[in-house]
Parts: sequence; structure tokens; C-alpha cells
Amino acid sequence: MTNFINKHIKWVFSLPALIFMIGMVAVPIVMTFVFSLNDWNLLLGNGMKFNWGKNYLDVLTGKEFWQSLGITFYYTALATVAEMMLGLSIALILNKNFLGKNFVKTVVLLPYMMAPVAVGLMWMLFYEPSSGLMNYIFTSVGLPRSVFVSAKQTVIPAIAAVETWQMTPMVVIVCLAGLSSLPAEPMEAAKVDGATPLYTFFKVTLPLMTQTLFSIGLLRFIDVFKSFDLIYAMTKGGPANASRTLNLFAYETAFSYYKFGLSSAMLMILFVIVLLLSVLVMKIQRKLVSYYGG
Amino acid sequence: MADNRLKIRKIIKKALFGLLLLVIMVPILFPLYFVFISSFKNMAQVYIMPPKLIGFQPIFDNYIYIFKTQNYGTYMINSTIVAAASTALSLLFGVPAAYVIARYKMTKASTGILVARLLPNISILLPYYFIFSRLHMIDTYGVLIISHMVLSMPLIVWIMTGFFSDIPLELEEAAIVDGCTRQKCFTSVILPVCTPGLVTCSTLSFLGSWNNFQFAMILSGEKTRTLPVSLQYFVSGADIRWGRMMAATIVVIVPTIILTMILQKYIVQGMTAGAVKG
Repeated sequence: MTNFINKHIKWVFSLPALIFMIGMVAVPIVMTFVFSLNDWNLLLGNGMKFNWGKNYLDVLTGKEFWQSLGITFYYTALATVAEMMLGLSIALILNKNFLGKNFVKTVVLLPYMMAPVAVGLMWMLFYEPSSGLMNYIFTSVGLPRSVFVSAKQTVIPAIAAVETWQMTPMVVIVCLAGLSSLPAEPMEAAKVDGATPLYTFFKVTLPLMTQTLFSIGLLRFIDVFKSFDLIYAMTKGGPANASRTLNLFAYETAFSYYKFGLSSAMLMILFVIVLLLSVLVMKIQRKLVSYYGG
Repeated sequence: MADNRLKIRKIIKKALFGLLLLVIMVPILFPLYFVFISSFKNMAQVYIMPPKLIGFQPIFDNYIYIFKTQNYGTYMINSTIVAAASTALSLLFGVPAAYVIARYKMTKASTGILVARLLPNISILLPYYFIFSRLHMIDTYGVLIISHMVLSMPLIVWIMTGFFSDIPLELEEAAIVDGCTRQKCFTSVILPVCTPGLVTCSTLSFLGSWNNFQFAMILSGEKTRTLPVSLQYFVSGADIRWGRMMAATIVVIVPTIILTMILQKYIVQGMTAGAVKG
């Protein structure tokens, strides 16, 4: 036995995990694909019926799907851009040695570690329209009152702000690591040449950070694209479906209307979009690595 | 004179920097403090604006309600069991796998792990619901633990692969020359060196499970309800009891805050794994 493990350690060690992952991830994806090709409503209880990809046709020709896709991209773009700009700025501020740096880092990390559902509920209290904290702050500084998540126009920016509040730490931490791994010579050379800090940042630091920023930006984009908990906790897709992202739409179709076939078709489309984005992440990382020589 | 001016300049610079740090920290800490005090207020007090930030009479009714009437004690135990068990099992499967993936440079396996990490969880949720309701496993610890392992294992393998590749080969070669089997060498030479990595990925895995909502919502029930799932029941209806809801929120987030404060260094290591190195 001992000898056997010793000889075949490669497979003895990796197979349990690989089999588990294949069984629990690859097989379910194939099942979702099979579901997506069938007419299957759990409420009617009449089992699956193969319908030649009619679900895909229904999804792609429906106005609701495109609306939902639009909302998803709007939400994702807003939150990702905000997180990246805010995250890089905070990282640049924190990128030096000072007393209490670890404490500040811990504080910055806190929102990221909390359950998105809990964060969503917290912000529902702040966003409370009549006597919430946010409207109190808004009126105190002379801004007009807002109803935040209760109106179609403001719901997406309002939730994207919460997503930014919670997830920016990820960008900060990764950018800090990227900044501290940069070589010191180019910055010093620029300083000796009398370059202003702003010039140094745009002409020296930023180009050196491209790889890090690309990776984290795409990873954040994918993560926000898949975001579910926060939106579900705050609005469940409302008001009037104005915050119903693709994720929530598919969820609602499956677990509120029990149209499993239709929902599976949406999930496959979502899966393919995320898969394409993931391939892009890996391609870009590899390209940049070879370009900058690691 | 010139010396003095330089000093003043330095002080101003320091003050400005301190101000910047405040600008970063207040938007994070103030909301948390606000939620904390709201959980000790009654309905009317929560609505008073400007809010009373200090010196109000704290009440404990909200906490008494969620623990006495709402079974939050049970939910906490459920969350702890699921998070601990799924983390332990994921480590058991994932750490050895990560070791051989790193040693034998199994690129296909590591690409697969990365894809599993990035894919939307919801696209495997329907088959889970289908299979596990057939097996009458909905609302059991088993199904929650298994489903959370699916999320934890890629994370653990990903982080640990990075740690194992950084270990010099000579270390284990020496042990093997001394007549050590490979598995013995793994448990007694390699693992002890990787303790920081193990702490990192256990922490992230535990917190990921503790915070999980989507899987737990579909696959749990009355008996196995976890904390994040219980939270959503406060939102139903127009009459939201803010005090109770914030007390429940505090119960969910305080353990994560404590863990973060203790293990910040390790969490940071895990978050940067892969994202910077490429």
C-alpha cells in the first residue's frame, strides 16, 4: 500500500479532488445544457420534453432578456470602473510606510470580508427614503433628496455604489501588492530628472502597472457580472424589474416560475459569456507576461 | 529660519496625510458603527434624524428577539458546522491535489481549477436542486457541506499550488534520499513549511462558506438554515423592523470582523495569490 502510493503519488493525490470537481461542476453543467434543450415546467409536472433549442429562440427573441443583459452590463461597468479608480487611488495613498499601516489595511479589508446579504441590508437602512442616513447627509450638504433603490432611474447606481463600497478592498489589496513589487529605479530616475509626481505616475508607474490593472480589472468585471446576493437582498430585481440582472432573471425563472428549461437556456448563455471573459483573462495575462518578460 | 519652515512644511504634510487616511477610513467605519448602535435602538429611535450617535439608552430587545423567538442560536451553529466541515474536507482533498499539481506542473488541471473558480455558481445550482431533491438531501448538512466544498476547493487548490511551487525541490529531495516515502515527505517535510498557506486558505474558505447565500438559500430548509439565509426574511413586507434586522446583521458580520482583524496578514496573502503573478 505505502509503496503503491509512493509510486503513483501524482494520481493518488490528485484524483479524489479532480473526480469531485468533475462530478460536481462539469457534470452539472452538462445537465444544465440538457435541461436547456427541453420544455420543462416543474409546476405542470409533465417531465422533460425535447424541443430542439426552442428555449434559446424564446430567450433571444424576448425583449426581457435583452433588457436584463443591458442592466447587467450597465451595473457591471459602473461598479467595475468605480472600484478600479477608487481602489488604485487608495492603494497609491497607502503605498508607503507609516505608523499604523496594518490597522488601516485591516479597516479597508473589513467590508470585503462581510456577507453581501448583510451589507445589502445595512445599506437598505441608510437608503431608507423618508428618514435614512443617506438622505440626511444629502440634504445637509445641499443635495436633493433621493429615493435610491425605490426608483427605476436610481436603483442601479445605488446598488453599484454598495457593490463598490464592499468590493473595492480587493482592488486596493492587489494594487498595493503590484505597487510594492515594482522596481524602484525608474521612479528614482524620474525624480532625479525633476519630473513632477503626476508626470511620474502617468509616464512611469501606470505603464508598469498595466498587467496588474488588467488582471484585477477583468477579474472584478467577471465577479460583478455574476453578482447575485447583494441585488437579491436589496431589491430582488425591482422596482419594475429595473435591477433584474441576468443572474436574477434566470433565478426568478427557475425558482419563482419553475420554468427549468427556459432558465437553463439563460444560464447557458450566462455561462458562455463568463467563460469567454475568463478565456480573455488568461489570454491577456499570458500575453502581458510574455510582453513584459514576467 | 529656513530650518523652521522646513519643519512646518513637514508637519503640514503629515497632517494632510492623516486627513487622507481619515477620508479613507471614515466611510468604512462610520456605517459599521451606525449599524451597531441601530441594533440597540427601538423603532422610533432608529428613525430620529439627526441620529443620536452616543448617549442614548441602549435596549437589548432586538437581540433577545432574534435569539429567543427566531432561533439565531441554531442558525449560528448551522453556519459554523457547515463552514468548518466544508473547509476541513476541502483541505483534505484539495491540499494533496495542489501539491502534485505544483510538482508535476499539471497545467490542464490548474486551468480547469481556475475556470471552476470563475464560472457563475448559479449555472450549477439547478442540477443540484434536481439531484439532491431526488435523493431527499435538501435541508441536510450533507448537501450544504458538499455544495460549499465546490466553492472552497478551487480556492484552496489555487492558493496552495502557489505556495508549493515556491518550495525549493532540494528540500524534499534530501528527505527522499534519506529513504522517506513521498507521502511521508509531504506530511512531515512539506506541510509544516506551508502552515501560513494553510492558514490563509482555511480562513478564506471558512469565511466564503459562512457568507454563502445563493447555494444555502436553495439547498437548506427549516432545520439547516444558515445565517445569511435567515437575513432575507426581514425584508419581506413594507413594515421593516430595522432594529431587529440590524441586530441580525451584527450577528452575521461580527465573527467575520473578528477573524479579519486577527488574520489580516494571511487574508491579504490569499487575495493577491495569482492576481499579481499572473
